Amino acid sequence: MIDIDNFRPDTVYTIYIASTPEKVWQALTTAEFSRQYFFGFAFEMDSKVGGSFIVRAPDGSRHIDGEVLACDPPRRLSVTWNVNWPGLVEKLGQTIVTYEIAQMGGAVRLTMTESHERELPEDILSGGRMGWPAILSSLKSVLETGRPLAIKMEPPLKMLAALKALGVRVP
Amino acid sequence: VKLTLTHEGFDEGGKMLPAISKGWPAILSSLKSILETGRPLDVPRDALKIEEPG
Repeated sequence: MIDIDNFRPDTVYTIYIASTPEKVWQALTTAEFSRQYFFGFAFEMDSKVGGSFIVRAPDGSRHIDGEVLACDPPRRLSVTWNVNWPGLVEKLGQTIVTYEIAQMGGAVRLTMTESHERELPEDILSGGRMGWPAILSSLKSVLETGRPLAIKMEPPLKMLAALKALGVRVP
Repeated sequence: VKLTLTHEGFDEGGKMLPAISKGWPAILSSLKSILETGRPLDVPRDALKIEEPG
C-alpha cells in the first residue's frame, strides 16, 4: 500500500467556488463534468479505496490508470496519477493527486495537491504547474456559469523535453 | 485571461507567508466570480485566519 505521507507535496493550488461540496465532488469524479473543463478527457472512478481511477483521452485511450487511495465524499479524494507513457513511473516514481473540499460560508474551498514519491526537477513539475490553474479555473467557471473557459494552452514543452531526455516515450 | 500574482520577499518563519497563502486564493477567486457572474464570493473572514500553532 502506498503511504501518502512519504510523498512530497510539490504543487498546491487552492481555489474558492460558489457551489456546494457535493457538486465539486461530482465535478472532480464524473466524465460528464471532467470532459468540459479537462480538455475533453473523461474521469471514470470506482468510488472506494482500492477502486480504479481512469482518465480517458478524447480518442478513447487510457491516459491514466490510477487507483483510489482515499475516498471520503464530499471532503477528501486521493488518487494515483501516473500518466501511461512508457518508462514514466520507472523514471519519476509515482505521483498522487489529492483534493480537499471544505465549505467556507457561501463558498467551497478546493485545494489540489500534486505529490511525488521522488524529488523532481522544476522542468518536470512545470507541466502540472501550468495545467492545474487552467483546469481548476475552468472547473470553477463550469460550476458558477455553466460554461467552461475557452483556454488555448500551449503544450508543456519544458516538461516534454525533460521527460524525453530521461528516456520516457512521450507522444 | 491569465492573471499571475507574485508576492515575494518573506522573512523565513514569519507570519506573512502563511497568512497571504490563505488570503490571495480567496481574493483572486472572488475577483474571477465578479468578472464572470457579477457577484463576489461569500467567504467569511474567519475562514482566512491562520491557525496559531500550539
